[in-house]
Amino acid sequence: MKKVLLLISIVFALVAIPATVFLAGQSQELRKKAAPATSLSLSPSSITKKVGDTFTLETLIDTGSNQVVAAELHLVFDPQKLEAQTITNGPLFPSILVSGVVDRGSASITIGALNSRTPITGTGTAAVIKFKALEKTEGPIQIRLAQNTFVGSLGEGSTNVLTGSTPANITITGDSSAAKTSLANTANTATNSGNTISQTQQPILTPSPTPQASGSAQASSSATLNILTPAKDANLSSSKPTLQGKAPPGSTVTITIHSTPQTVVVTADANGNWVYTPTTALDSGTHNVIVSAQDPKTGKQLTSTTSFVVASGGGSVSTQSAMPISGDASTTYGIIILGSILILAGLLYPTTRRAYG
Amino acid sequence: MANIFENNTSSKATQLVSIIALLFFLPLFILVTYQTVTLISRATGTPAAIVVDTKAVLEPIKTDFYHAFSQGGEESNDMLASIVPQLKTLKPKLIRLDHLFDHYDVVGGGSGSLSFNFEKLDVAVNTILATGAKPLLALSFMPKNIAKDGSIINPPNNWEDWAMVVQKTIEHFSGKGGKNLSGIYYEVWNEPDLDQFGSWKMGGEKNYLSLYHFASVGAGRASGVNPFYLGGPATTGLYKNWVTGLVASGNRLDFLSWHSYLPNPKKFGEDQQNVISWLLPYPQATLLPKLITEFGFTGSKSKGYGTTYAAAHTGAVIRQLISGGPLYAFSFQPKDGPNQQAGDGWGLVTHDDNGKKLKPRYSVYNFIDTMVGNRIGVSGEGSWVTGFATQKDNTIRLFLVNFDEAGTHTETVPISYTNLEPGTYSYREKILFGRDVTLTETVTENTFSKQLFMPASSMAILEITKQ
Repeated sequence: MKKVLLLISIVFALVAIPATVFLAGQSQELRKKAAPATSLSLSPSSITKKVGDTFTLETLIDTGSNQVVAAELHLVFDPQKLEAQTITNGPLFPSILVSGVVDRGSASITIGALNSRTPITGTGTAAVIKFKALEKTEGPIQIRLAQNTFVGSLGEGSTNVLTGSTPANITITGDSSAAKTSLANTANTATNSGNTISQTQQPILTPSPTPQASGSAQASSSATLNILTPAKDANLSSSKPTLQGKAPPGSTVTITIHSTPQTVVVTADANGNWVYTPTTALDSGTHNVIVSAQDPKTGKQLTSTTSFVVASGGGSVSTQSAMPISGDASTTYGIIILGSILILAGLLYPTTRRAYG
Repeated sequence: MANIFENNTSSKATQLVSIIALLFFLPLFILVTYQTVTLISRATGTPAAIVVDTKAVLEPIKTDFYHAFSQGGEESNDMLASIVPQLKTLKPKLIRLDHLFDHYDVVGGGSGSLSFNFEKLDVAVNTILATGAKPLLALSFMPKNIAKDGSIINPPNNWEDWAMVVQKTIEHFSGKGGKNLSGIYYEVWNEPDLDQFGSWKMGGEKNYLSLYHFASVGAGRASGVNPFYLGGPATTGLYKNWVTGLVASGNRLDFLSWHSYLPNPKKFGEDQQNVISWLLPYPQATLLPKLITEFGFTGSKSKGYGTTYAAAHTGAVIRQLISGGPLYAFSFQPKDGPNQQAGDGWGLVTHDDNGKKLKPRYSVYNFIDTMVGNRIGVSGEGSWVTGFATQKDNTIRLFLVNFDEAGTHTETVPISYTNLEPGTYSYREKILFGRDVTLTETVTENTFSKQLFMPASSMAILEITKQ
């Protein structure tokens, strides 16, 4: 009898636990689906520009039935083809909660309603971004909202009420050599002739060769996995640098950032582009990145690695001189001390004649 | 001890070795010394190369958020009374007072039978009102007659007494039957995390959330009052657990406040980003006004407060907060305490016993006010030279500040204005505490370039106006 009861209990547990998990999951799914939908889109959705043209893109929001109070927008794009010059709030969001930042390949801003008594409802322009077309494209490329874009709404707690976003496609036509000339001129308008150091300042970009991916090789030429930015061993001022690269279209890309590991999974788009910007600031110092994805044709696992350095204190490490990075002066002090001792020894040590023989 | 070489070599050989060593190490010595000196003096950073895109019009800037000042309690009297004219010139919007309940003899009686006398505090508040500002009152510290062990940094014996103190204070100043002031900010405590002010925590025996809760209970009981704001936690810095703890506590919270004594101005901008990112899981809280109710480059007394160093730091902080910044940032403090002839007081103005002299930082606020207008796109800021630009009517203005923590960095800054209409422009360079010159310039293409030498700890506003 006891054994029967024990058996019944075990069978019950084996059935009840998965059933409970399943039902709980269904409940969450229902809740998710029941949450009113908010969507973002970029307008115009399709645009053709010439190299050197500047243009603006609006981030439109449709709040659905949500009462939106804040939106953290992150846009990503190909930094070789496009340069974001400014990002600001649109008329629908009167408050700038975090100042807009434009960087290589990304633009972000956090905007809000005036107060919680007047949340944002309906449709309208959330943000306006000004771009410059840098280089000709072979076909349309995307400007899109990154996965870490967040929209917060009254009554939804910490749920991101954003359920979808529509990118913009841009085709850039024209002579890329003209663009290089134009860019070089723009970069040279602000040279630091009064200083021994000259720097090209953001967001003025000079065209550079496509960064080569480092680390382990690809499975085949038709299945590419690489990390395009940041360049290997780049010194970065941002503690949340945007990582971009190529992967088999539609594949799931796993990104792991060391030292303190952060692992995320993103999906490569139809063109094989993947992008990720860390939501948690990276400590200063060296970070190693490993990305992996599965080749859909062969099933083989692809990996690629790179590394970069996040500068300390928010400043850029000077790339002009060969002097050591600030803080690593121990070798220098050692050389100074050793040299001083030897020089002094040579100068001061008495020389005395000895009798030989 | 004999030179080991001398046992086997002649003195000439010894000299030769010494000379070779000298020739070898001396250049190396010079090289590493040069590198070390340059490294130390230059630090790690990027020089600026400013580009102003005159067609990239952004949002209107606010020039009132930095017209806020916080007076400390080095004297337990109305310290500001003697500098009202100097304060009026600063066009203050808010002036903060703390030590309400230990410097002004407000609370009398005992638990359950408290009495209130706001006469002395009224004098101080009237002084604030005379400057054109409204008061921000830091509800601090615990009245002795209700505090545990009579210590003003302790909790009360009975929390209802604390609630009563807050209620009566709000009813006096915001009450229609009292001072009848509207829009007053009441901040719960001052630097609760500091040992000196009680070392309160987010939990435990001295739980700030209890202190805040009963303050909000008292605020809720205040009747016949004009609109007012209750907030906190007024900590010594911006701390995530304090902010999110207070937000999640469910108490009435009309604003968030903290103090920032940070030598690096860019940390002020990072703090704004951080606080929003912490609050996004509480979307409604992202919209709470943020008030930095004290700020400076150090919380210690420093002679730097009497020099252009503090002025440049303030200018650099204002630049970091010019977009997406707090509702108010309060400079600490309008007036020095007594006996600070050494020049290390925090004040914008020296004490009466030191001549009520204006210090360089005093001039920053009105200087930056000329920047009113719509912000326009600026790129190329450096590690030390930062700035922002605005457009109003026909004039483009560029504010630049050169600040480094050592106070030694000088820089010649190239500046370019792009997307200009060709024509004749007046170009004005106003250096704070320096020259103010106007030239006529002709722009034939769409770009106009200049170079500006910026001494250490300096600020400038450059204006171009199409004629």
